[in-house]
Amino acid sequence: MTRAEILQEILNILKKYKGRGADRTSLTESTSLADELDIDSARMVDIVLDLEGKFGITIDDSSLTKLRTVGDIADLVERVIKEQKGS
Amino acid sequence: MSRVVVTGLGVVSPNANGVPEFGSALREGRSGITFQPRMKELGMSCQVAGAPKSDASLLDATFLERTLHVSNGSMVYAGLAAIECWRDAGFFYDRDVKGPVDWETGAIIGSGVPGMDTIAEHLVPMLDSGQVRRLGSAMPEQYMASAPSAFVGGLLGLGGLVTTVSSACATGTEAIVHAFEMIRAGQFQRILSGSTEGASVHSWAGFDAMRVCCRTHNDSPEKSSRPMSASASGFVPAAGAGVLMLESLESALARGTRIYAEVLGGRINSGGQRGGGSVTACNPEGAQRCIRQAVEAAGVPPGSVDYINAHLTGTIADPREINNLMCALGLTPETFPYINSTKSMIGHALGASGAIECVACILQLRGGFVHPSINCEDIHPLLEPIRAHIPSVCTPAPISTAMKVSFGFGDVNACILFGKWEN
Repeated sequence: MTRAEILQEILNILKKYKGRGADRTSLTESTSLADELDIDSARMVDIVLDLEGKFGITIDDSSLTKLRTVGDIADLVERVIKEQKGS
Repeated sequence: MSRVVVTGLGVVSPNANGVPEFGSALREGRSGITFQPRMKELGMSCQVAGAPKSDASLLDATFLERTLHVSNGSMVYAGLAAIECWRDAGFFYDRDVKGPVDWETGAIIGSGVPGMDTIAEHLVPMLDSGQVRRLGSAMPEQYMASAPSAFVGGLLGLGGLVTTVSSACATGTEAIVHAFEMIRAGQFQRILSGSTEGASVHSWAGFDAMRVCCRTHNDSPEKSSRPMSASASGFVPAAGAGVLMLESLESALARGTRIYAEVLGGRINSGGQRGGGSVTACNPEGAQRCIRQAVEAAGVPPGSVDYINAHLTGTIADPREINNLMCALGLTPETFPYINSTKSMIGHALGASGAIECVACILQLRGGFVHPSINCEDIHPLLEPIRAHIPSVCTPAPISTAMKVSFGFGDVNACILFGKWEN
């Protein structure tokens, strides 16, 4: 998968987790999960489960606390796909 | 001590979503009881219930997708009723706007078993099948006892007391009495008070196993809830939510908002599970003390109560309840006020019943009518002396003082009195 394809899938997942006031926020790689999308650390657990299901990967729990932006998620997914699927 | 008034109402009921429709349903004597295929599949003896109708467009207009993703039935009902009440009281809510904290408003939203559907349908099956990691983040916020009040507090940004009370079927009335006492004592200006219950077959199954639910009218659901009837065979389980905005009179007048009614007084107690009382039965002395002390707290003569919205569930306890009311108020069949059972139309919404029925009580007080108590055309012989005081059709009645009573497992009692407000 290209990074653009990965990013598109991530944005589709994030849509259902956006909080109040985040509807008009345009999503880019630099969008802050907490400040702009109102996504807290508890909801990151659900997002990671969705990512695992979508990409067929397993994400280590220790990665959760390092995710600050949309781009951080893309970096993580890209890296884990490479590690676990070799592409 | 502050005087306390009701400035907003919200309801989700088996026979109506929202207060305007609920008022019409009460006047029409419209039943919200329907056949429940799931109860039949599970082999339950009672296969009818009062489950609020799901309204997808209302849900979509009220909640974000992520909010519904982490909410169970009791939370959604509480949220819908609280938001209707909040707006009705003159406050702003938009699902897309996170407003500021309102430090002057709290919420006491009770429930009987708020997380039953979450536990039974998600937590236990996933845990038992080895999927604990996939439970996600939203289990505790749905199965914690305070889930309904926490949900409402977050939706509306409430900065006062935010808590849940639970006293079985007395829960709703108890929540409103607590809110009344706190505002009266000057602790808060406003409290959204009420209760909620999800439509959970798992919750209802326990009562079905106790043989206290109706099992004789599965083919005629609208006839199944029969309080005060000689042919009553048990209560019909139900779900929903009711929320009242209780507010200090000073705050209501300063805001210039509409006042529905004044809360005159209330009382909560227990019969101690003695003197004929048990965890499932009511000690008559306890119930009568509760009613008598509520009237004293309201500062009105017992004979001035001109309407009672009773607990009356459609079980063998109905005649005992009427007797307790009569003894507590020192009345005779001739001097007994109008009385009805909202449960005859909506069933027994358990923890939510008291609050939904307080909404019904206030609509009748303000509207000057008494709704029909349906399905008691074959009145119980012990209640024949008060037949004239049980309306079979919607009846105009200039009510000045209305009483709501609720009784619950644990031998607990709650009683509250509302007075007509002349704007």
